[in-house]
Amino acid sequence: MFKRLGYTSVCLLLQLIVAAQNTQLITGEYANHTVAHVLNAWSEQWSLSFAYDSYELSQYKGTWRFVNATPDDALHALLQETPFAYNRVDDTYVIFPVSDISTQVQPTSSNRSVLSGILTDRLTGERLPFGGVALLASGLSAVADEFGQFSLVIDTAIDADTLVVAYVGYQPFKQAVQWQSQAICIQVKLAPISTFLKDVVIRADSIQVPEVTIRPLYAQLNPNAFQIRYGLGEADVFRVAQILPGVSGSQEYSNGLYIRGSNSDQSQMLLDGFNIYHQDHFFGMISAVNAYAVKSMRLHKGPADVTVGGRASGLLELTGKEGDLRNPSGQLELGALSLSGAVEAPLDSSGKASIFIAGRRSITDAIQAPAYKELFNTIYSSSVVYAKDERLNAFEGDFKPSLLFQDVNAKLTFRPNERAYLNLSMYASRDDLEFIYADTTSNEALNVSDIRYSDETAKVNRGIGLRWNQQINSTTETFTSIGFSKFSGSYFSSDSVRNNLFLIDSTQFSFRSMSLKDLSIRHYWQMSGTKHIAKLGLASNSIYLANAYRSFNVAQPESTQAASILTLFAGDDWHLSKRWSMHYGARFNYYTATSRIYAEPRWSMQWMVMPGRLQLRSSAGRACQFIQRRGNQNLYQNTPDIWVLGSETIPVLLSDQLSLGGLVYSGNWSCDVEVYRKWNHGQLVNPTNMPTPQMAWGNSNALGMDMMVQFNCKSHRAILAYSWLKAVSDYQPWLSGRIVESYYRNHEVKLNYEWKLKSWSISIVQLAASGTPYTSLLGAYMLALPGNNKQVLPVMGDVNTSRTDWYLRTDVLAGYNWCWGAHRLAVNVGVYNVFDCQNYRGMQYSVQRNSSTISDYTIQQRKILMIGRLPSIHLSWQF
Amino acid sequence: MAILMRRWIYIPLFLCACQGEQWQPKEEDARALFGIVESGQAPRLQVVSWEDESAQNTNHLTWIWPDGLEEEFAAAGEYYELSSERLPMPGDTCQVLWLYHNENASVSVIIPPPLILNAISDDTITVVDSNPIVLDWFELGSEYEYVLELECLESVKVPIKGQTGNFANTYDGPQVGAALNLPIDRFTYYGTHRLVIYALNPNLIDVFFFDPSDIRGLLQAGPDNVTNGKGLVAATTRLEILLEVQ
Repeated sequence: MFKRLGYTSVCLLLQLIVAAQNTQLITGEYANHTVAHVLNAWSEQWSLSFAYDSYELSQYKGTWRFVNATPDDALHALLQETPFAYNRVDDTYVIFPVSDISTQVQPTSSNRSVLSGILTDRLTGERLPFGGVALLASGLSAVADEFGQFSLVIDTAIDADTLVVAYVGYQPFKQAVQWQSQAICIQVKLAPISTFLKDVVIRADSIQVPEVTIRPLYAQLNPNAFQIRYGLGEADVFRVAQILPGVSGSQEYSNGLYIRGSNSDQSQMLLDGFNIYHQDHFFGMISAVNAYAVKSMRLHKGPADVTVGGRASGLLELTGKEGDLRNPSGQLELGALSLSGAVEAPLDSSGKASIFIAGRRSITDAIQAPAYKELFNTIYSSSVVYAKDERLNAFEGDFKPSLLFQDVNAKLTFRPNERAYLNLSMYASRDDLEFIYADTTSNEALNVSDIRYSDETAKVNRGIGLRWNQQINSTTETFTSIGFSKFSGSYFSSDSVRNNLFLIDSTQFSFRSMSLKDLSIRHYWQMSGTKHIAKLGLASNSIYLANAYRSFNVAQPESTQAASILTLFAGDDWHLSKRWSMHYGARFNYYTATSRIYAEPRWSMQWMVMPGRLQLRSSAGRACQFIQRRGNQNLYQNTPDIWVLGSETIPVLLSDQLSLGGLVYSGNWSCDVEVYRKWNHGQLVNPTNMPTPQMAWGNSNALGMDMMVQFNCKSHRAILAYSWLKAVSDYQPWLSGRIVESYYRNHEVKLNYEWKLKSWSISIVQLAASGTPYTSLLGAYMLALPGNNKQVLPVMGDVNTSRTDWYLRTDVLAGYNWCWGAHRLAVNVGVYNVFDCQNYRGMQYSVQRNSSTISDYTIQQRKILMIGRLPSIHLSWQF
Repeated sequence: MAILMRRWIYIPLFLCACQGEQWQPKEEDARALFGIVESGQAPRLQVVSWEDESAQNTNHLTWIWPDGLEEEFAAAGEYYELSSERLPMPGDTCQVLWLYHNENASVSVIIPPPLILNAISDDTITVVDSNPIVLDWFELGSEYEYVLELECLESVKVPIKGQTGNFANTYDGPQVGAALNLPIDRFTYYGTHRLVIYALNPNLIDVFFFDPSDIRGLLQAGPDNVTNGKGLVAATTRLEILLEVQ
C-alpha cells in the first residue's frame, strides 16, 4: 500500500516537473549577447535543461527580446540566424548543428561528378579515420581512410541526393547534397555523442549507428565510447576489443589478443603505423597503450585489406588522438594503478597544426591499493610452484615487490596545405619489476637448502611513426608511413642459496637480455573511379632480433636474427552495382631469410540483399607471418617473450582463411553472423604447457562462428556476442594426436549492457566461456626395477584433453559526470567479478620430496586461479 | 548453495551457448600398460586403471614373437601373463599389441643381447686375505647399462664381524662399465651369494634416471614408450654368478 503511494507520489512529482517545464514562459531582454550566454541565463533563471556546445554557440551574437514566450518559441527565435536547430528529448532541449558541410567547388576536367571530403570532429577539428559514408540515392558508399578522407565518384549525379555519415561514438549525420559543380569537396563535422556540456540524452532519430560497425574485413570501435574500458580500474583498449565475438575475453592476463582460436602472437598491434610487440603492462593485466590516447580502433579478424599484413590471425589498428585544433584542453585520470594526464593544443591560429601529449605512470610505489595487491598476487600465484590452492600473498614478507610502469604518447599533426596531411607519432613505455621472495618449498621434509630469489626486470618499448597523406587531385592520393619500434628487455636474477647441512652460502645469478627492432615503411597510391577504388603500393618490413644469456656458470654468445620482407601490393574495391561490391587484390612478399616469394591473395564480396535490412558477405585470403613467439614471459622464471623469425629451418606461418557472413539490421537492432574456416601451416608450439622441445611446429585448423547482436534504444545499449570454435593443432612428430591449445574456448558468450541517463551511466558485463584445457594427471604407478630398486612414474593424460570448470564473470560499473563550463569530472566505480567466481587458468602439479630417495615423493595438485572480486575506482577530469 | 545461486544468473548465456558435449571435458581413458620383460622368463604385464574399475576386463593383449607368431596374454589376478612354453630370448625384438575399447596401442620390446662372463679372478673371497674378486663381462654396446644385485643365499645368515657391506650403496643405480671389483667390505654375510648382473635396455635406463620434477618443482610425466597409449614396457637380460665368502 505504502509502496504504491510512494510510486504514485513520485510519478505525480515528475509530472509536475515536466508540466512546469512545459508551461514555463520566458521573458527578458538580451542586448549584444552570445547565444550561449542566453541559454545559460535561461537555464539558471527558468530551470530549463539544455544540451549544447558552448564554444560553438558563443560565436553567435545578437539582441533579443522575449515577452512571455514559450521555450519553443524563444529557442526558435534565438537560433533563427544561426545554423543550429533544437530537438526536445525528454525534458532536455538538445541543440545541434543543422548543417555541418562547408562546400568548396573544385575544378574538374572530366564529365564525372566527384564528391570528396574529410570527416572531422566538430569540437576539436581532429580528423576521424575509417568512418562510413554513403550517397543514398546514388547507392554509392565508401570508407574514409586513416586520415578521415573519402571520395565518391559518380557517373550521373542525382540532384537531390543525400549524404549519410556514420561514425562510432558520434551523432549520425544526414545531409542533402546539391551538386553545384562536377567536383565538390566537403568537410563533414561530426558531433561527439558524449561531449554535450549538460545533461545528455542520446537519441539518434535519423539513422541508427551501432556502437560497433562491422564491415566485411574489419570491425571499428571507439574505445572511449565504452565504459567497460574501466573494468580493472584502468582505461584499457583491450577490454573494449574483447567485447567482440571471436576475441577471447576470458584470457584475463595475456600479452595481446586471442582472435578466433589463435595464439596472441598471431595478432598484431599497430599504433599510427608502427608495430608494438610487447602489448601489455603488468605482466598482461592491462594493455600497453593509454586508452585516452587512442581516437579510433579497427580490428581485423582475418586477412585484412591488401595495404596491411604481417600476422596470421588479426590486426588491431590504433589511431592516436591528434589534438584539439581549436582550443587547448587536457585531462587528468587517477586509476587503481596509475595516474595519467594528457594535454592537447593547437599550434597555430589557423587550425593547421596541433599537438597531443599523454603520459601515464603507475602509483604502485606510493599507494599499494587493494586492486594492485590483488592483481599482483594473482599473477604471482599463477607463476610460482606452491602446494596449496589458495592465492599467495607476495606482500606478506619482509620484501615488498615493486612493479612500476609508465608510458608516453605524443602526436604532432601538421597540415601544410589543403592537400597534405602529416602526423608524427611517438610512443614510449617501460615496466620495471623488483621482486625478492623465498623458496616456496621450504616446508619439505628434506630442506637441504634455503633459497632467496631476487629478480629485476626492465621492459622498454619505443616507437615512432611518420604518416603523410598527399592529395594529388580529387580522385588520387598517396599515403606514406614510416614506423620504427624497438622492444628491449633485461632480466636479472640473483639467487642466494644457503646449504643447511653444511652451512655454506653461495650466490647464483643469471642475466638475460633481448631486443627486437622493427622498421616498417609503406607507400601506396589510391585512385578513385566511378566503380573502382584502386590501391597500389610498396612496403618493407625489417626485423632484427637479439638474445643473450649469461649466468654464474654459462655464458652464451648473443644470438641474432635479421630479415626483411619486401612487399608489392595491389587491390581494388569494385562497386559492381548498387547492391554488389567486391574487394580483391594480392600482396607479394619477398622474404630475405628464405629468398622466396610468398603470395597473399585476398578477396571479399558484399551483397546488399535488401538495402537497409540485409546484407551478405564473404571473404577468402591468405596471410603470412614471418615472426612468431616461441616462449611466453614468465614472472617466476624471470624470462621474456622469445620471438623467432622464419628461416630455412623454421617455417613461415601461412594461414588460409574463408568466411561467410550476414548482417540483418532494423531500427534499433542489428544482428551479425559470420562463419569462418582457418588453416594454419607452420605454427610454432607454445611450449608453456606442452612437453615438447623448445622448437617444434605443426599445423592447426579452426572452424568457428561469431555472432553479435546489438541493440540501441534511447539510453540503453546492449551488445550480445557469442563465439563458437572448434579447433585442433597437430604437432607430429613432436606431439602425438590432435591437440587442443590451452587458449581454445569452444563457447564464449558476452553480454555488455550500458544504460546512460542524464549524468549517470551503468554498465554490466557478463561473460561465460568454456573452461581452460589442461593436461590432467591420471595417477602414479610404482614400477619394481631390477636390483631391488623401484620408481614411481606419474602418468599424465593426453595433452589438454581435460577442461577446468566454466569461466564465469560479471562486472558492474557505475559512473557519474559533473560538468561546470568546460570542465568535466567523471567518477567510475566498478567491481570486477562481482560474484567472486573461482575461474581457473589451469592446473598445476608439483613434486614434494619426502626424503633423499629419488622415488620417495608426493604429487601435489593446485588450481591456478584467475582474478577474484576486485573493486576499483577511476576518476577523470577534463578541462 | 550460494555458489549455485550465483550461477543462475548465467542461465540466459548458457541457453545461448550450450551445445551438449562441447561444454564437457573429454572423458579420457585413464589406463596405462606397464611391465618389465626379462629374457628367459614368461612376459608379465599389468594394466593400471585409475578411473574405470572394469578396465581389467576390456583389455586384449597380444605378444608377437620376432618371427611374427602371435600369442594372447591371459588375465592372472592383477597381471596379464603369457602361458607359452616359448620364452623371450636375449636379442629378441618383440611387439605387444594392446587393444582396449576402440584404441589400438602397441609397444616394441627390445630384449638386450646375452650377457656373457669374460673373466673372473676367483669366485671365493676370504675375510682374512681380503683379496677382491675381479670380474668382467662382454660389453653390449653404448646404449646399454647395467644394474647389479647381490643376495646372500644362506638360510641362516651369519654376519661378518664388525662389518656392514656397502654393496647396495655403491651400486645403487645403473653403471656404464662392464667390469666389477668386489673387495670384502662389499659383503655383510658369510656363505654363498648370488651376484645378478642385469643389462638394461634404453627404456629401462630412462626409468632409472627419471626425475619427477623440473627445475621449478613442477611435475614431469614419466617415461612413456607405448604408441597410441600410455605406459612403459621395458626389457632386461640377466647373468647370475655364485660367489662364496669365507
